[in-house]
Parts: sequence; structure tokens; C-alpha cells
Amino acid sequence: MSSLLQFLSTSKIARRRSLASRREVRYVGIDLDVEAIRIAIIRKQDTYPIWDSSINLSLQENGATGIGEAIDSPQSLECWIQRVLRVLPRSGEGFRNRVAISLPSSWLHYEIIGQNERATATTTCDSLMKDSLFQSEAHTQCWSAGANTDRLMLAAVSKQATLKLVRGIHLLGYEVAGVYPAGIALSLAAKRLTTLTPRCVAYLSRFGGSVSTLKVSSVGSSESGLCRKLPALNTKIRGAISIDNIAPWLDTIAQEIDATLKYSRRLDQTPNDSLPIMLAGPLAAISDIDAAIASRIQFPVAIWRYAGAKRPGVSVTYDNEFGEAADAIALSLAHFATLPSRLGKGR
Amino acid sequence: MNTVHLSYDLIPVEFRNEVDARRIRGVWIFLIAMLAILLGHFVFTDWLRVEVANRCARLMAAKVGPIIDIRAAAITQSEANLRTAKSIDQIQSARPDDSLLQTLASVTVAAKPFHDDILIDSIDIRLPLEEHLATNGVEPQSQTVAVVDDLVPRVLIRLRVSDPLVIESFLEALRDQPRLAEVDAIVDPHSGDDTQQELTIYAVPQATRVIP
Repeated sequence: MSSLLQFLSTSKIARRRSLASRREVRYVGIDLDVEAIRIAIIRKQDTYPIWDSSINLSLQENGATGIGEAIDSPQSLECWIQRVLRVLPRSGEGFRNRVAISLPSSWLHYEIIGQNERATATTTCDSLMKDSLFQSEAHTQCWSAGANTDRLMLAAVSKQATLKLVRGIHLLGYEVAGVYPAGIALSLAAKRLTTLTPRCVAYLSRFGGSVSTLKVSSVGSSESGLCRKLPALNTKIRGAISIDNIAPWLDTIAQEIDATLKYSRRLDQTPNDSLPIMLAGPLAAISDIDAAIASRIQFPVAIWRYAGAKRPGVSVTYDNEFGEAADAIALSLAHFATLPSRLGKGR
Repeated sequence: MNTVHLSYDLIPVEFRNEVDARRIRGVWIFLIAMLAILLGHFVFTDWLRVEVANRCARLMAAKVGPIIDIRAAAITQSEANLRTAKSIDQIQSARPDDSLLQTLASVTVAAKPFHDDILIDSIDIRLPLEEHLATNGVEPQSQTVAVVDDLVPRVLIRLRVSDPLVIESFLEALRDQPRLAEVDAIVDPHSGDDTQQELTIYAVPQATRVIP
């Protein structure tokens, strides 16, 4: 009798649930870069996520030169935000679009602080953001810098600009799950999306990338790690980019990655391991870049490559086999969007 | 996926609050709208009920109006009838009044023994019923009586007497009559001669009853 009652109640609950979630949910990752927006959409088929489609939207108007140079005043920043909101497609009907967003790496400010320096650091970030072209308060977020250290990694963004973007995207019909630093998204989703566990993930873009060493600690399940910005590529380079004409920049990148790794190792107090460095981003598709960086740091290097069985073949065509590295952030973000919203609720 | 102890979310708290506020506002608006609809529904149905009742009442009143009018007319008519019937009854029940004759008879009876000596010129009788009629049944007031002098009940007998000695006897005879009271005589000093004397006798006639 009781089992019958239980069956009835559970079936009723199941029906209610199916009624409530009749609209299919699509998980969208929006990677905002200075010159382009990359969108990846994950759909869940029988609870198994599938990379549904990818969209690449250019923010350059009439094929003009890099906008990165143009963002140098509050007006041009406002212009850029408006353009992003204009270019972004409206959320499709019949779907709930749950979206995770990453901001251009130049918007972020990283800092390593002590456990009790948070208030001071926030004030500093505030004044820093106010003096910059953002002209607003800073919004900061902290996480542990290493597994065996009490130092914190602090990320700061402009509160006003972020709010403006997020509100605009919300108005376009998206359900904003969170705004994440690109490096964090890459590091935490790398294992799931590429089946590789990287030591660190470097995101290479013309407008500055990032390197992050986040990993799930062996004790417990909390993540910790560093996140640093990588310098932008000199935008004066015209024509096809190859290993030869970006050699000085590669040197700098390699040095940054090396330094970050060494610092991370010191904070974690862990011995050297042979986990590879993972390269992602539009510039990771340059041929032989993995070899160039590997030879500079003397460390194994892998290029981000989606490990799923199905990929959108129609909407995206890649120049080479590593072309999808450009979609790495968008896909990682979409993967983040599939996670329970608890992640985005803050501490 | 693994749980995260620290947050990487760069969304300012304001946005989360905005979204929550909007959701809460939506819920509230929904609730208020539902309540408003309920209220409107109740108000409307109540109004409708009152209106229907009013219309019913008005219809009933419209139908009942003539009946009420007829009834009022009937009441008025029946009252009038009652009054008329009473009047008729009174008129029918009224017997011929003989007060005047009785008074006259009294005077005649009193004067009979002295018919040789007394010559009655005139008898003026005014019965009390006239007073009552004049005051419309209300208690006669002294003032009214004074003003309406003509209405004072009286018997006025003018006569000529050959023998003055008879006067006293005649007066006695008149006083003996139950129909006359307060009999008094005034001798006119200026009239008459040696053989005859003129005098006026005043008396108050006693009517058997007052005619309404």
C-alpha cells in the first residue's frame, strides 16, 4: 500500500517537473573579445551534453582595422558595449538560453593578495578602475591562489561596464548564469571537454590572453590556482600571422607562462609533474606554435581540442585541425552554464 | 561536477538583486492582479445582484403602483363614504325639533290666563342650537358669544299691557314654564300711555337638545 502511494507521488512529481521544464534549455557560452564574439551552444540530449552549434560574430565594422586600438575613452567603451549588444543574436523562441559570459581579458585585473588584505585590495582596485577609462567602481572576486597557501587570487572588473553588459544580455532574453574570467572557465572545463588534464591553460589572443593554473586539489574538491594576463600581440602586424613574425611576442608569452608555472609550483609546494601546457584561443591555431612554445619552456605543450564525439560540422569551418581552439572559451563557458547555478551565487 | 567553495562569478551583486527583485515584483504583480481580478469579480457580481434586485423592485413597483393608487383612492373613497354615511345617518336619525314650538307654546300657555290684558306684539326666539352651529361644535367661548351677539339664545317678547298688575303674574307664569329660564322684564319708560304700557320680556329658551 505504502509503496503504491510512493509510486503515485513520485510519478506525480515527475509529471510536474516535466511540465515545468517543457521549454528546452540550451547552454550558451559567450566569449567576448575585443574584435569578435564567439558563441558556443551546448544542448543536452538525454542528460548528455552535445556541442550543438558555434557562432562567430565579428565586431569590426566594414572590415576596418582592429577596434582594440579604438577603445581608449569612455565613449568608445560605451560604443563597444552597444555594438556587442547590437550584434548579439536575440534569444531564440522556444528555448531557455542559459548563458555564461567571459569579458575581454583587458577588462580584468588580477592581483595576488594576502588573506587579510582583501579590503585594502578592493579599495586599490576601486581607485584603479576609477582612474581608468571605465570610470567606475570595481567588482572583485577572490579565490585561493594555491593548494598549500593562504594567499588569495583577486580578480577585479569594472562594476558599471559589467552591469551594463549583463543587463543588456539579460534584456536580449538570455538567462545569465554567470560572468567568469576566461582562464578559470578554460582550466576548470579542460578535463571535461578535452579529456586532458593540463598543468596550465594559456589563452592566446591578439588582444591579450591569459594563463591560468587552476586545478582541483587532491584533498577535498576545491579549486585553487593562479590566473594572469598575457600581453597583447603587437597589432601592427599585418597579413598572415606566422611563427616567424611573432617570435618576440612568443618569447614574452613563454616567459610569462614559465614564471606563472614556477610561482604556482612554489605556492602549491608540489614537485614538477609532466602535465602539459594547453594552448587555446585564436592564435593557438597558428601552425607549429606548440612546438615553438615547448622548445622555449622545455615543457610538453598540447593544443586545445574538443574530445566530444559530435561537433557542429555545418556552421563552423576551420582552417586547420586546431581551429576549434578559438572556440575553447565559448565552449568552456557553455559547459559552465550547464553546472548548477549555485556556482554563480558567490560565497 | 565538483562543488566550488570560492566563487569566480564576476557578476556584480546588483544584477542578481535586480533579477530577484524583478522576479519578486512579477510574483507580487501576479498576486495583486489576481486579487484585483477577484475583487473586481466580487464587486461586479455584487453590483449585478443589486442591479437585478433593483430592476426587479422597480418592475414590481411599476406593476404595483396602480394597485397602490387604487387602494389609496379606495381608502379615501371609503373614508368619504363613511363620512357621508355618518352624515346621512345623522340626518336620518335627526327628529323634527320642536323646541321652537315648545317655547312658543310655553309663552302661549303662560299668557292664556291674561289674554284680556296682554297684547303680544312679537315673539323673537333664538334657540341655542344656532350658537353651536356658529362655533362649529367647539365649546362656545365667552368672547365668541360676545362678538356674535345675535347668536345668544334668547326669547324676546314685546307686549303691551293694559293692567300693570298683571305683569308680575305673567312673569311668574313664564318662570313656571320649564322651557324658559332667567325670565326678566324691562319696562320701556318712554312708551305707552295711561291705558297701556309697553314692555319687553327677556328669557333664555331651553332647547330639548342641540341639533348638530
